[in-house]
Amino acid sequence: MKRKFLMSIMLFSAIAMFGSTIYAATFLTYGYPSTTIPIRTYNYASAWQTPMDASLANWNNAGAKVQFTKTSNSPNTITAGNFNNTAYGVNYASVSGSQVVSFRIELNASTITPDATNLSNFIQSVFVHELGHSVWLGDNPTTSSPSIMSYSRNRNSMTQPQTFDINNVRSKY
Amino acid sequence: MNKKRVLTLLLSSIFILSAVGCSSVTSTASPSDAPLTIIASEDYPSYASISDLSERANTIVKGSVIETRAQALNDIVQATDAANENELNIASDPGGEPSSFDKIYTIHTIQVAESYKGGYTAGEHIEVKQLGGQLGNTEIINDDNLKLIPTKDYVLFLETYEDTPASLLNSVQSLYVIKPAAKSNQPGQQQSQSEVIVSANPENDLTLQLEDLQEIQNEQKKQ
Repeated sequence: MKRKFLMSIMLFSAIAMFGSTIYAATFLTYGYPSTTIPIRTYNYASAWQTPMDASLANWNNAGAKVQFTKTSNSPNTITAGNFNNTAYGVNYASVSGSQVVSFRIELNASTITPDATNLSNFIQSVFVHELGHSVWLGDNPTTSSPSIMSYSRNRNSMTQPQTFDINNVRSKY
Repeated sequence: MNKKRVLTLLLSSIFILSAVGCSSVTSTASPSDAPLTIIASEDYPSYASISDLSERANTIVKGSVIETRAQALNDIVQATDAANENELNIASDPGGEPSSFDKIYTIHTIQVAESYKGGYTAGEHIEVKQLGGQLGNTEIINDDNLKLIPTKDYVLFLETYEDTPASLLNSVQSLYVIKPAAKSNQPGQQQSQSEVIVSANPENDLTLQLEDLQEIQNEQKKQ
């Protein structure tokens, strides 16, 4: 009897630890606390502005419960420019506990432009991915389902949050 | 151990595991001098083969870390520079007014032991930056990055820049550890002199071999 109880404890501990590892692959430990997410108004050349605006719409129309809105005084900012690093995009999230307090997204023209055969789609793919980080989604989830968070997705064609991503965001709000 | 004590132990385990599993990587906000923690998540290119990786890298070296420091760095290329470099390509200049932001990078000075591609030679130093680090009360956490350790020898696939340290092409496929060949315990079996190369990141599905590096080096010599 005693042995059975001890075995149960060990089994439970193993499942709990293993389970939390899998969970972390799909989700970050933080996300924006409300479903309406303000972003400071931005102004870029049309080749960039149009797909950037489309990226917000891609999330807003996905049925993921979240809405990104542009306002003039939001602490959440988007910057597109040329950076001396190898990332397509980066999301810098200031976090308190499990809540995103504010975020800054950078889109790197130095890496996006040379790799894009369809610039508009590529910008959307990177921007939609970075916005995904603000709503709990982690990088490169372990799944066979298509995901906008996957590193190996085709950025020249995948511009929308996928069903896998949408369901994951919905589970958090 | 009686049943009650075992149950108490079980409940304690559940509580501790839940607390650990649900805790954030950042400290919760505390009054006044609370540290500022920023978590960085990057989206970067993934390469289908070592050949693609080496083609994209402008510098490939073997070396070891001799110094590491944290430094605030604004890595944006000024609009005028970018415009000059890409005069004919409007797609590469988003326009607008990109806002300035000092990031915290961890910068490693690497002593080059062997060069496979690029302008560096053995004995020279090259600086390599990784996003993340702490300066004062501000910390940028980048969980994707692998820590470079001074005692190890690495092969690095890099992109270099004129006025900022080089970057790894990505944090999954661009860093490899050189390991000495395992000693054979079989009597009479010849000890292999070859080193073994393993990826620094277990998620990496590419395999780098000494022959690949030799091939890259030969290609470089032809040019």
